[in-house]
Amino acid sequence: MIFNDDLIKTLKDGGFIKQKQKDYYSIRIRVVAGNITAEQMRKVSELAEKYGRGYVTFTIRLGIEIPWVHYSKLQEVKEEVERIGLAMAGCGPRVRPIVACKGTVCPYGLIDTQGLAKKLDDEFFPTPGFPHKFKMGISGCPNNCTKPQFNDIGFQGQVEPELNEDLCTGCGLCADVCDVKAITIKDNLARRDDDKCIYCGSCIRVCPMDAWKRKRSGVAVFVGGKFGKKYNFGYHIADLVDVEKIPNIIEKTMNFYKSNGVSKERLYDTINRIGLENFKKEILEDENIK
Amino acid sequence: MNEIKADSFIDITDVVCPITFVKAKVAIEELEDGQILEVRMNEGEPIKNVPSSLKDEGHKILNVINNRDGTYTIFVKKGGLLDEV
Repeated sequence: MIFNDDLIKTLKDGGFIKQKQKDYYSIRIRVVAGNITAEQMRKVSELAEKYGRGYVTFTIRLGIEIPWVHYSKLQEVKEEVERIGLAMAGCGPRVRPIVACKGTVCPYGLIDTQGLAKKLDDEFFPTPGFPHKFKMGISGCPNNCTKPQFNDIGFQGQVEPELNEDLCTGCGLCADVCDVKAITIKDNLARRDDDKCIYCGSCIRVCPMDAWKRKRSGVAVFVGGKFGKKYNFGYHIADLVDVEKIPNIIEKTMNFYKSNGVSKERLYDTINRIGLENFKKEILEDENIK
Repeated sequence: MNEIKADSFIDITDVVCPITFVKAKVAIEELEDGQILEVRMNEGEPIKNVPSSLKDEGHKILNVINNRDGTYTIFVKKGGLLDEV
């Protein structure tokens, strides 16, 4: 079999990773928000037995790969993957699978991370046409398990605490568990220093009297993060942004990147070339963001 | 507040997460609704998670005492939050 036009078109859609072994590819399947049904998992296992060598491997972006698929079977596998309601994961200069932590069920989760990832996937995957790849990551709280700061755009769940002074007994638990020492107890009352607070919600969770309450939730926004040979943390550009505003911020960021970026350049380099303040003005303008 | 009389006492300073909460949970399950469990735990991770997990399961924290020796003692009323709703 030769590389005919159909096969080349299939390859261009992405999700086929050439192995170093001649004629073999690893098939990359996208798993939205890291969740896959048991039935789909069974079918993927069957595909690994039928087309690969009977095993699967997991990617850093929560996807699944079936290695050792011969190139003559690529179109066939792709069709089978789509038949079970899954899709190939893109590679190349486009939106990559969105990584979210388990914040939907994790006790620390401050936002519905997997619901958000699904929503963003529906809306933005696999948008092509960027100078380079475009990665998005979501963590549900400041524990940062999914490292949103290493994505082109990353979101981290936050909560702003508010004290009901009538309920506070000054027991000091919140001050004790606060990792950034933002809380002190004075005159038997907890006091929070907003400049130190990272909005993790530990005080709310630990308070035995329910004196600490959630005032509002939101996300911190990080932009320009990347890994690779030249890695860096994303710029922390906003706190406590309403979750509803996320799609708008992503869209503006994508437009900025598409219109200002040059080929092979990641968002980080584009921002540095144009200037962080200019970027922020364009993205956060009209957003009334902290 | 320090005069709360507990019906049962458990020390969970000798175990780490997730056994801390499990031991407290088992101890409170042996009580009747309305009875009070006294729990002694280490500062740090246990005090961060055990009281909130007990609250999540409907028990009410009546009092918290910092023992000033790296441990805390809390008094928990079984099902105490369920009465209030």
